[in-house]
Amino acid sequence: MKVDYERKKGTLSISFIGELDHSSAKMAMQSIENLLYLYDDKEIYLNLERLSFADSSAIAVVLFLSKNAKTRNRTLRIVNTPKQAMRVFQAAKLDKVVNFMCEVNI
Amino acid sequence: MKNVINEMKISFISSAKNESFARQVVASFASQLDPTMEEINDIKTVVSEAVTNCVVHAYKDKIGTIHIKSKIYDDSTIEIEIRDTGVGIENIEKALEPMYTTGDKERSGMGFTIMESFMDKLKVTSKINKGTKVTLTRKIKNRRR
Repeated sequence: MKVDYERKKGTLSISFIGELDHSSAKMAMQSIENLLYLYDDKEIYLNLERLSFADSSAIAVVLFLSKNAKTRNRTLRIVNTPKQAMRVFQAAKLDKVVNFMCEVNI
Repeated sequence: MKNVINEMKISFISSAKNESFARQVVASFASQLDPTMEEINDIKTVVSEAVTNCVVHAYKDKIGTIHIKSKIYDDSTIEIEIRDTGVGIENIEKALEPMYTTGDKERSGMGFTIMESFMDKLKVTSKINKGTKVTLTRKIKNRRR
């Protein structure tokens, strides 16, 4: 899996590209930690449009990002979540604690 | 009584890199039942969860072998058995609880909950220092025509 990012007018957009499972979760968390440390943009978007697979490791990664954003006083939105990943997140009721938005052009 | 119409077995080492391989193989085997995309995705997800448990918990500080056996029955049911010979689970009831994990921060403790909710049946048997066997069953209903 690859982690990509883009900054635009106070917004940090992070994209996950490929498959997110146990083998890539640690790298994803490390990238998130680095990006949130380096950039102080108030709004964070996690764009999952190009996430081709997610298992429960993705739940841990999203919760990690959510906690990190909250600690640093940033707003987090998860956007363009594919059906397969959403089904995993919903099994953990993640949609009740994290802000999910669909079809966002960023 | 249902009959087995096809069966496959694979074994591989408990490397995290093999999680993707395992889910692709089982998904390919299941595809002969003509499942929907959602059914295939569910199968991939549960295999990923079970194999990750072997990598993270069963063979925590060593490399071991993971065995997968899958059977297809004539009533469009698929059975997937994922077995290791690792440390075993001390308390299965506790391990099945949502959010329970003895793993690191990149584990959510939702693996068994997902296996249970995505499949029709989940059976876990384990013996300390002998290993764990997870059996997952799902009837493929929404067949594409």
